[in-house]
Parts: sequence; structure tokens; C-alpha cells
Amino acid sequence: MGKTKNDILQGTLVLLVLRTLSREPMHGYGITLRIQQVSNEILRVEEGSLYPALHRMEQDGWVHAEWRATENNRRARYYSLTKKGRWQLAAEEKHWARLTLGVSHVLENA
Amino acid sequence: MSIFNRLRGSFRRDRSDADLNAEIQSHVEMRERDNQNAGLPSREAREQAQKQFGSAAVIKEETRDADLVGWFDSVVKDLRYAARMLRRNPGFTAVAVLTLALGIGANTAMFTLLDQILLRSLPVKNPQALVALRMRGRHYGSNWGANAISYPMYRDFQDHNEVFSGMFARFAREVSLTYEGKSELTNAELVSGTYFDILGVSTILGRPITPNEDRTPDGEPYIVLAYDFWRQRFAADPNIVGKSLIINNQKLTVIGVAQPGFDGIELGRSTKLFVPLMMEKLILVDTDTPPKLQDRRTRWVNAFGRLKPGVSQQQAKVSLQPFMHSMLEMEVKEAAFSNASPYDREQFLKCWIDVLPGSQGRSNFRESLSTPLWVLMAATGVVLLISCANIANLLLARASGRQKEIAMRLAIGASRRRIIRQLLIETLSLSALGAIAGLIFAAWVVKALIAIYLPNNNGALSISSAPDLRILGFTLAVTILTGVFFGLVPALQTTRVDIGRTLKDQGGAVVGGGHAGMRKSLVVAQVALSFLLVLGAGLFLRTLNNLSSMSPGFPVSHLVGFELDPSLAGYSSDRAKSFYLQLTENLSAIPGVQSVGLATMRILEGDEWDSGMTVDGFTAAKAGQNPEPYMNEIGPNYFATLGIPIVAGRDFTMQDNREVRHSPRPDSWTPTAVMINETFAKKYLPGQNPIGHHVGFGIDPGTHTDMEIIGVVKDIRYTGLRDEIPEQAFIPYLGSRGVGSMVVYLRTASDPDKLTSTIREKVRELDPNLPVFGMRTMETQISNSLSSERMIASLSSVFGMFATILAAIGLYGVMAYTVSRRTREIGIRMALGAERGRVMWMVMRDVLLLIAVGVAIGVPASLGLTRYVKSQLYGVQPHDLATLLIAIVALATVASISGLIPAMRASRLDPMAALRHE
Repeated sequence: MGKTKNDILQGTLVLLVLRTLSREPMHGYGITLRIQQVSNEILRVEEGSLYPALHRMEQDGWVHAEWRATENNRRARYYSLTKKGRWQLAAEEKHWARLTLGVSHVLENA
Repeated sequence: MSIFNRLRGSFRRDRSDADLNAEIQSHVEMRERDNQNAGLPSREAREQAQKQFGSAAVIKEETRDADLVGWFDSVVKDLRYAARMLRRNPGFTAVAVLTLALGIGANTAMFTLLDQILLRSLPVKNPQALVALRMRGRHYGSNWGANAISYPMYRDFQDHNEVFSGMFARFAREVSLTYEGKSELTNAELVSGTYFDILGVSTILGRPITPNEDRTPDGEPYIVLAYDFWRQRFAADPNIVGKSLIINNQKLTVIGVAQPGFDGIELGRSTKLFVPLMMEKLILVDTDTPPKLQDRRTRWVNAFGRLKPGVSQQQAKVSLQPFMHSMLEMEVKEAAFSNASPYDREQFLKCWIDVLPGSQGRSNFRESLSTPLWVLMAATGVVLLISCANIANLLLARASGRQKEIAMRLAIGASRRRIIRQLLIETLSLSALGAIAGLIFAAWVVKALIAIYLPNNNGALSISSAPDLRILGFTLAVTILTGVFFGLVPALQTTRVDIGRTLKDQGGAVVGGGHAGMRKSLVVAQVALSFLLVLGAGLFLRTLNNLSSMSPGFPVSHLVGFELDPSLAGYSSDRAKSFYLQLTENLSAIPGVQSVGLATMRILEGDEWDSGMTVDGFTAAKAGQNPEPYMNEIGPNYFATLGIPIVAGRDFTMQDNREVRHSPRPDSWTPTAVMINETFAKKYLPGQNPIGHHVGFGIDPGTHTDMEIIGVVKDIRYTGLRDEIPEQAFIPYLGSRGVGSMVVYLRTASDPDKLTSTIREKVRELDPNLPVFGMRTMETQISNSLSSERMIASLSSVFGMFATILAAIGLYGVMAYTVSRRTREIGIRMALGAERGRVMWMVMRDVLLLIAVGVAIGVPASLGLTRYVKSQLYGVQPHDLATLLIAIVALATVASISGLIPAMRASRLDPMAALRHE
């Protein structure tokens, strides 16, 4: 078990994407870079998980997507958070806080 | 997310393949550029970018799964998966498909009957615009059946109305058809020249009857054949046009063959030949003066109109009244009313014309079958519901076994929605298989139902058992509803799982305790629904029993009747009389025949003939309360043959053959003698000896009362077993002016069925050209008259039994499951000293509770519903306590027995083995 796990934990991807988008609209590639960078290279987002997740979030009405020009004048699909998405983010953050609190209690006291 | 959201999503956002490709492309390019910026050579930069992105195809598939195209793709996958699952559980699949085939098949069969008898429109041009005219109010003169008006009135309406683009009139009658030396009785329809044109029916050979054939009374000797009849009777002879057929002893020429599928406008009476109305005298063997084509006092034709575009039924009705009244005002001044009382004139002038929907043509028996068919349709629907509940129960039981599979799929990322869809596709496949089997089953059931319950139909009612688009549409709707209904609850339940717990649970048996609750609710629903059917069956059975045990007033065994109509073969009234006398003599000579009696009305067949009468010594307290007895014209020995005792006076004899003639008009001549029944005597001559009193036809002041009451007979039923016994009067046919068709009754010493061929032979000896028809014993006749009661009673019993068995199976399933779940607990209890009886009671308490709750829901619900079938009941109230109790006991007994099996199993558990369980 020497291998370091840097996969995104099941279920947390949505939280990370929502949080990332809460700052500013971004395209999919930007999201992977941002998460990798902000997490100090600990977390890596698989494209194979990201795009299905984005699509599902779009269908659920949490994010809105539109084609825009990038700073380098390419075209990319930008995702931004909707009102519904902000609500979802708040809910997921709360859930995450409880979960980590529980885990840390166990690690400290068990 | 619903499919609608998906549709909306996929159309509004237009998430096409190209769009997704573009996004992936842009992602890969951006990484490629970053790789290059990081110093990688361009080829390597691209390869790595692509490698890192992974399989674009997989992502695309995953992403697009939520889109419509992908949706269909994955449905196909789900279907394959479903097929695999169903194949893997052949036992379950067989039971479910069989149950559904029975349920869906029965519904399809019932709908086929319902649709063709009650719902379907005529196969003509724009049937919705057709309306039927109906005179309402008191008539003065004679009236031939419902929806009839006089021919002159029809012509007046035709010429003076603003609301119809056209009108037609028709009248149905059997005629004697002779072709190539063979005579037979055939359904004919007298039609006006506008009939084919207004209906929009054409001919495939020759030409239809046209307004040109509306001109010369007795001078339009033409026939149009119905398509099916042309094929069957004339072997589709392409040269039929121009050939002659003998109808009622006169030559008519075939001018055309009607388009396929059209056989007249009366359901239950398929027309074989159409003849111009001008031939009325020939077809009706009419000797009346004035002839019906001119007489306003005889209402006989059924008139229909086609509404002009934009005219409603109501508008038509309003628009017709003023002209109708001007006609009545004119009629009431005619000579025929010279003797009418002021009351009768007043009543007559109150008549009005009603405009009824005509899209379905007309039918005498549609109304009588309407409630039975709707009741049975509802019952089959309930049976299907119960079947659904049973399959839902099976699915829930099976779901326990599949819990792990589903938890696994949820764990590896499948959405709950996706799995529910997968499960629904499985159940829809099941119901689709059931529907296919059900359609085959239904075609067979329809044939069987018609053969069993419409035996005197003689092919007159053309009900096709082959499913058409309407039937298939119905079956499809039922199938989808069924699949969703029995699939949704289990699917929702099954996917609500705690993934971690389920996967870790090595035993894998105990999950979703909620299933048991859901399954119990289903069983309660089944018990309640079954109770409804069992109670209904009980009420209908008692109705049938009450009616069958009812006596018409005379012994029904060893009595056979048949009909003849010599007038159709050109016999005059006098010749017919001597023919009947000879026939009576010849038939009486057959060994085993005890007595022969003749009558013009066949009783207990729903037909009636009534006539207003004046009775000497009786004055109506109020106008309109005159005697109006049901009539019959009979021969000597009629009462002796039927076994009806004469309680006072004497029977008719050969000497009762004189007529009294006050005027030269034959329709005013009457016989000299009359017999009445006890009801008549009690009602109009109470406390007196009726013998010797005089009566006469008609209620006008000054009516001649020339008929002497010579005898009183015991009451017998007339129209049918469930109708009250009416006042009746009998006149001798030997003293009547117009002798034509008669029913001949024979009382026999042995089985009358063995004599029928001898009887036919005796008729043939006298005249080989006279068709004998309607040969049936009184027992058959009575049983036929109860056919709709029998249909409803026997089918509802079958449904009730089927429902009870299904409910019992459901109950058994749930209890067996509960017991197996509680095995360990039961073991502990037994180890601690619980007796076997106690354990058994513990299980049975649950069983009885389920039944009690089901019955508690079923009783009020059923009582709320049974009042809708009140009109179908006889001698039993919809809330009959005895039937209610029997239904409860019957259902509770069967259900308890099915619960007893798991209870016994529980009580026989070996405690040691039970403790080691799991």
C-alpha cells in the first residue's frame, strides 16, 4: 500500500467543481488545472470523470454553459454557477464539514 | 430527470455530438499548448494530451448518456440486459407472463366486445353528423317499435327543414328469398332513395338505390345486395347484376352490390338485401288501407338526418319543432280523429320530435348489453390490477435477491434513476410478452364468449375477434400502464438501499425491511379488490338464481315452438287459416305430440303488442287510465298446450271464427270473443264475474264493444321473466282478418328435440317452399332470455375466483417470506418454551389482520360501488347482508388457508436448526 492516492474521492468531485466555479466561470480544462494547482498537486481530476459530472450538473441546472473566447483567443465552453448551483454548493460544503469533523474525531480519539 | 427534461435539455441546449467533440477538442488543444510551453516537442505534447484525456469515446458515451440519442442507445442496452435477466429466471418469467397474458387478454377481449357493441360508429362517411329522429309523446294510431314516424311525416320533414343536408328513412323486416329453388328467411331493409347517398355508401357492382326509386309505390322492384351476403349466398357471382330473385313470391332485379363492410345500420341485425321503400306492400305483406306510404296514423319508418356543417343536434331539434307542430295541427283535423276524445287530441298535440345521435345507427340490444359490458369491463380491469399487485409482490420478493447486484451497480457510479429505468424496462418487457400472449388469448376468448353468451345470434351480430388498430391501441395502453404500475413500486423500493451495508452483508438475505410493509400493503389491496369481485359475483349469481327459479306461469319442459310465415309465400289470409288448421291436425298426429297451439306473439322474447281497450262496466277515473292490455292472437288449445289453466269460462273453439263488421274498412273488424287473464279481471272488473262482459278495441268515446269475454286464464308472464305480469287479452286468430306469421307450440310426451326433424317434415309435406324458423324448446328460449344475466354471473364468478386465488397466492408469498425472515426469532422463542400452537397463532394473527384490514377497506368500497349495478340485480339488494357475509367468509377462508401453510411451517421448525439459521 505504498502508492499515494491522489484520485478524487468518490462524491467529492462535484463539491470541488462547484467551489472552483464559485469564484469565476471556467472551462473544463481550466477546472482541472485550478484544482490541481490549489490543492498543491495533491488532487488530480480525471477528464473521464469531469465531463460526465459537468454534464450531469448542467442537466440538473447547477451550472450553465456557453461558448466563449479564451484569453488566448481560442474557443472554449465556459461553465458558470447558477443560483441553484450556489445552494447546492452550500449544502455540499456543510456535508463535507460534518464528514471531516467525524473522521477527525475518530482519528484523534479512537 | 424525466424524459421531458431530457428532451427539453437536448433540444434547447442543442448538445449535439459536434458540440461535445468541440469541447473535447478544445480541452486537448489547451493541454497540448501547455505541454509545448513546458518544453515538450509538439508530437509528444499532443500524444500526451490525448493520452491524459483518456478515451474520448468513453467520455462521450458517459456524457451523452443523459441525452436523447444516447437515451435510446442505452434503452437498447437495457432491453438486452432485461432479456438476459428474464431468461435467467424462467420460472418467474413464466408465472408473470402467464398472469399478465390472462389479465391483459381478458381486458382486450372485453374491450373488443365493448368497442364493437357499444362504442363503434357506423362504417359510413362522417358518422358523427348523423342523427336519428324520435317522436316523443302519446301517439294516436299504431306504432311499430321505437324511433318510428309515419312515412308522410318523413317526406314532409325531408322537404321542409333547414338543418339537414339530407335525410333518409328505413325499415327492417325478414323476407322469404327464393333463389335456384331454395327458400330461406333473410334480413331485408326497406330504404328510401336517399339512403345510400346520405350515408355515403357506394356499390362495388352495379348502382345503389337512388331517389329515382322513391317514385312509384309497388313499382320499384330492385335489390341491392350486401357484400358479405353476395359472397356467401351467390359465391361472389360477378354477373349478379340484372339477375332476378324471388322475394315474398315476387320477382325483383338485382341492381347492385354494396361496398364491403356495410351491412345496414342496425347493430345485431345484419342486412342482406336492400329494397326501395316503395316496395313496402310486398315486403311487409301489407294489406292495410290506406297503405302505410300514405297513412299518417301508422308510425313505422326510422328517419335519420345528416346535419349541415355547423348545425348542432340541439339546434336541429329546436328548428324542427314549429314545423312538426303545424303537421300535428293538420293531422288532428283529419277524419281519423273524428272519434277521438278531447284528452287524446290534447295529448297528441303535445308530441314533439327528439333528435338523437345517429352515428351508431340503431340497435335494440345495445342498451340492454350496455351495463353488463361496462360492469364486466370494470371487473376485468380489477382482475388486472390484482394481477399487477401479485407481480409487484413477486418482484419485491425477487428484489431481495437482487439487492446486492443493485447496490454494486449504485456503488460503481450508476445513478438511481438509471437503475429504476433499467428495472422498469424489465417489467415493461414482461408486460409486453404478456400482451403478445394476451392478444392471442383474447381472440380465442372473444370467439368463446360469443359462442357461449350470444347463442341465438345466428351471425346477425358481426363481431370480429381479429384485433384492429383500436384494439391494439387499447392493449398497448394497458400494457404500458400495467408494466409501469407493477414495476414502479418495486423499482423505487429496491434502489433505496444502503450501499455499504448491503455489500458488506455476507448473508445477503436481510435487507430492506420496508419491503415487507410494502408487500403487506399490496396484499391488503388485493384482498380488498378481490372482495369487491367476490361480492359482485355473489349478487349476480343470486340474481341469476332468482330468475332461473322463476316460473313463467306454466311448465316449460317438453314444450317446443317454431315459426312460419305463409304470407311471405303469397298466402291469402283465408288460405293461411286453412293451412294452419291442416298443419295443426297433421302435427297432432305425430306420435308423442300431446297438443298443438298457435299464437301470433312468441312470449318471453321481449316483444310486446298492446292495444287500448274499452271495457263495458269500467270507466277510467282519470283520462289516460284506460285498459291497455298486452295482446295475443291465439288458436284453440293454446292454453292447453302451454299448460295454462282456464280458471273461468271456456277456451276458444273452431266456432270462434266470426267477425263483426261495423264499417267496410277491414282494420275495424273484430272477432266476437275474447279471453283475459286474472290481472285484467281484477283490475277492471273487480268483484264481478267477468264472463259475459263486453270489450272493444280503442278508447274513443262511442267505441263498439262487440267482443264478449268468454274465459279467464291464470296469469303468465309475457315479455320476460323479470317483468311484472301485465294485464292481457287474447283474441282468436280464426276470427281475425289478417292471418300471417304464427308461432306453433307443441307439447310433447318425450324430449321435444327428438321430434324437430319430424315436425319440419310435416311442414314440408304441406308446402316445401315455407321456411321453418325459430325452432327452439321453451327451456332453450328461457335460458337464452337470461343470456346477459348468465354472462355477467358466470364471468364475474370466474373473475372473483381468479382474484381470490391471486390474493391468496400474494398472501402466501408475504407470509412465507415473513416466516423465513423470523426463523431465528421463532427458534429462540421455541427454545425458550413457546408451544407450537402459540407459534402458529403468532403467524396466523398476522394473516388474519391482513385479511381483516383488506375486508374492512373492501366492504365500504364495494357497497359504494354495487349500487351502480342495481339495474342488473333481481330479487336481491345491492347491500344484501347474506351475500355480504358469504363473500366475507368465502374470501377469508381461502385466504386463511393460504396463510395456514407458512404458519404450520413455522410451528414445525426444529428449534436447533432454526437457531443456526443464517
